[in-house]
Amino acid sequence: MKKVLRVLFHLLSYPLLIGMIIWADLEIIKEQYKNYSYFMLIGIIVPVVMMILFYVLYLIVTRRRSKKSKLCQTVIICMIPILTLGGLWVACDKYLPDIIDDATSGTIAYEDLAEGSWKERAEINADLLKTFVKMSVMARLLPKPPGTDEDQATEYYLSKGVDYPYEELEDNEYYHTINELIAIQYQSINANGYASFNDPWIGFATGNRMTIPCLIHLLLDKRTVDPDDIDKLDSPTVSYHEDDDGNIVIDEVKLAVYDEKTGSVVLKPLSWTVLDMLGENQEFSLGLSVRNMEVIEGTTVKDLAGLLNINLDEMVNNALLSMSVIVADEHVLGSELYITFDLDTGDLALVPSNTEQGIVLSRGTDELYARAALDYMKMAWLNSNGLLYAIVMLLSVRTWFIYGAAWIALMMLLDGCMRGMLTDEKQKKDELFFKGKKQPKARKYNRTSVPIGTNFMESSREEQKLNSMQESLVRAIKESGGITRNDDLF
Amino acid sequence: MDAKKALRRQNLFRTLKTVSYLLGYPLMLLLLMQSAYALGFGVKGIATEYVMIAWAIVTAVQILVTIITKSYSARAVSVVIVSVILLLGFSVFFDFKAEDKLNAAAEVYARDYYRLEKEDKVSVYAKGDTIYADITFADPDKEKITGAETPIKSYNEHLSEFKPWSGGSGLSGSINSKTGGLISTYNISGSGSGNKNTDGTRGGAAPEIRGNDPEIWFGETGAVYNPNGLYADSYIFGVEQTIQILLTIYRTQEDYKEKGLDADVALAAAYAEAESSSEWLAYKSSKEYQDAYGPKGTAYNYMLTEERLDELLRSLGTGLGNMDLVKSLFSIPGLPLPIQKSDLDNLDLQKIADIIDGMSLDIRSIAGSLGVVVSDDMPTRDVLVKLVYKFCFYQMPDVLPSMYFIKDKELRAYAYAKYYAEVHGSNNACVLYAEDQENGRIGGITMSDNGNPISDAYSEEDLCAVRAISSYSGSFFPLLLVRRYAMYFAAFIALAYLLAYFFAYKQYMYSVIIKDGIYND
Repeated sequence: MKKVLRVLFHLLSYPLLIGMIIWADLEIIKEQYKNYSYFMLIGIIVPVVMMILFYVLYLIVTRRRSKKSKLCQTVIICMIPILTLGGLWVACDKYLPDIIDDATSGTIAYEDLAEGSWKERAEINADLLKTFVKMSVMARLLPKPPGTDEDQATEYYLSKGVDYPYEELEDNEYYHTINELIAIQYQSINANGYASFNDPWIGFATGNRMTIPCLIHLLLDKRTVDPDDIDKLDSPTVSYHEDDDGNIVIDEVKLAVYDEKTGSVVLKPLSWTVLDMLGENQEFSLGLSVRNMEVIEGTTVKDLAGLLNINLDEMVNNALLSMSVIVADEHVLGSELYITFDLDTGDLALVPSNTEQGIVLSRGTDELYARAALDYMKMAWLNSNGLLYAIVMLLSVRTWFIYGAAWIALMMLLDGCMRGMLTDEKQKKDELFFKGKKQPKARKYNRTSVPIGTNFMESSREEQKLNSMQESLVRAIKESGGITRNDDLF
Repeated sequence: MDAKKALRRQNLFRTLKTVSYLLGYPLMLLLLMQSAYALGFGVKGIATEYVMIAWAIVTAVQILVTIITKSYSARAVSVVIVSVILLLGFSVFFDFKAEDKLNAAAEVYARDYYRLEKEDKVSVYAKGDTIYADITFADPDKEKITGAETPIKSYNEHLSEFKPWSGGSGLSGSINSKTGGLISTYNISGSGSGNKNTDGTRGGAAPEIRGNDPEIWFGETGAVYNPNGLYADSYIFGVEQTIQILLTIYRTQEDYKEKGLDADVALAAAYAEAESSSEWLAYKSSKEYQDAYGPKGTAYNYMLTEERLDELLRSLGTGLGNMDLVKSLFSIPGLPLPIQKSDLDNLDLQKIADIIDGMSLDIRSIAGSLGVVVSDDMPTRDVLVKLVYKFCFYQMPDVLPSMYFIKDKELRAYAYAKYYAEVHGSNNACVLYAEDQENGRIGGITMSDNGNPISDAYSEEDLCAVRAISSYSGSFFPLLLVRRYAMYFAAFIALAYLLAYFFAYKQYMYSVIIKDGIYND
């Protein structure tokens, strides 16, 4: 019976913890394993390693030749899960914040993930990949397999993982997997985008302090590309030279785009605006209906357009698209900025080039390229998705570990009871009391155990001797008014 | 007695000894940390430090008496006496000093708000729940002020209103809200932060600029300066800097108003004088200035220059000329357009100036309304350049601004204060002062936020109150909390130590009994 209970307690310790972790994370693992393989298993690998470590130490501590009492052994065994499972989080809290900060360029804080929002983070990161693949299909960087539409093509490219060499990309000279495409696009938006903006303005823009002077600085300041922001200098996406002092000067950082004229994917040295970094529309409203505005008394814009036989919407859209081409000139903003205007509501929107709406608008002219890249922060996350998922999976077990440490300690305490911890302590006390004296006869369990409640003072002579010694000692203490020796603070 | 009973008794007294000890300083510290956290003083703040120091002293005394004497009674008495002296003594000492501290804060307010000189005398006194000030001016022409109310509450009011048990409400909460309101209204930071410049350099401590008096320094503590004496580009004002800047603006305007003058008009004249002074012209020829703003200067990397503007206009003109809409507009006969199609080819600043002159647009008035002072005979192109520089000019961190050369000290300080409050504030979304004092906006004005209305601006009285309160509240309230706990726990801790020593004595007695009972054959 004891052995059965001991096995049960052991099964309810680490194996139960690992089982619960697998059950909680199974969905995320199934969904993302094809993309990030062993990164997804970090949350399971760590407790398995902890379990192996625990049982190695268990065997060492409880070996037959151990001189430690069973109580002492049990205390040590209980401490192991507390120190390893709990100690892991002390180490994580110390070292992980810097790793996360570096991987996400400071856009995600460790505290955001540590306090239970790792699940939302996992979902967000899954959506990032889907959005990027969809935009790449829309921008024709990922060719649609025959007979599929954009949504079906997106599902196709998501089905086999980010490192799968798709047949459709065999002839592409720049990338063969989705991961390689992500790396090219991220390098462009990072080195030629975010990192090239001057501090403190880019910090203000992303920190809710984007004022008009801040925007002007971000649009007009001279920007330089730092070689330290380039992952691989010798790649077809980067061109550089050395100046007279031997320093590397970056000439161009290229982005993968689809060229309508050649009908193929090419690399172009395109720049980015601050709105591309933010990746969302800036919206304003004139608060009036331009279409119904009176130009001359009694004649609205709509009436005038009718008189002149002009399609007003087409004219405005063409004008705004032309403005985007003008703005893309290197002497103006250096990057296209799409503008949409609703003639009925007076709503004006500045649309960054790297959004789904921007890609659709770029199709209106062959002078501009569709840019398949998310905003800077999301591209930083996407580029480090593997590492982020590893951290997310690790943090997903945080709560399990904290509860598990206490639970496993309890299981090992019960295991210690089954191993004879309680009777062992009693035996050692008896040995201490009766050192050198004749032992009473052994009873039921083993030759050293003694039933509880037995009065060992069988000899009344010895009892009397003890009592008289006690009395004389107490008297001596009272008469002396002090104690002979004490090493304690109290 | 049998040995097992003796052993049980020994264990019992050992447990009671430990529990008694824990009911002393550890319990007091735990409850104090909870209250400190609830009141926003922080778990690791000054309140916790004081209690930890007292506990450390008592522990040191414990160690000492253990070495010196073997009597448990003597040890207990020594430790209890030291603990009681520390705790009650602190409370008494705090009571003595607290009133002085509050009076000093009230005097700070009076001197600040009434702009007193060193020779003017202030006497403060508590009446009811408030501290009042009587002010006697050194200048016999000035009337004495009696019974001026200060925003500092009396010590009795602090004692009765401070409620550490109620989790954060009460006097400390309402006092802290004044400072918190300043921070949120103006979108500033508590102690000032940010040292980055656009050109990649970083600001630091206040520099020595040619031995000038520091009337242009607005708060050295926490402020981050460039070598030219201005704040670093990314600097967000702290509370002290905000107060100094605003008080400078308000008081300069009041001073000029008393003389029947307008401070802004005087400032405009001072700027014009400084920019035509020989010192400024000589400085403009210096290497420092020329490296930044001369031909191929480094400042042009961070601002829109005339050449860049011409390039931008050229590209814009070419693009517009190719637009179908524009082409169709030009093809409509008789349509009165201000420009010709040929103007769009090679469009530049001079052509824009010619178009403006052709339209008889009063660009000089428009420039004046935007704060750019131009003379009537200035060419239109130069007016446009000045307008562009108004919004796109970048002040290099190591080049002195023209306002440095303003000779009048009061106006120079006013110029710096207005620059920070308006220009620096509008760059960094922490506008302190709006030119339009009726409908203007202050605080966090960004592309997506309008900031706060001018009605939320702090008055001179409010600013002086925040400054006076900040001068004492940082350490006062945490120590008031310590005083409360020290008074309540002094007797309790004494009892805890007495019991701990008593139980320790009993424990030792039984350990001796057991030892001798076992080994003494």
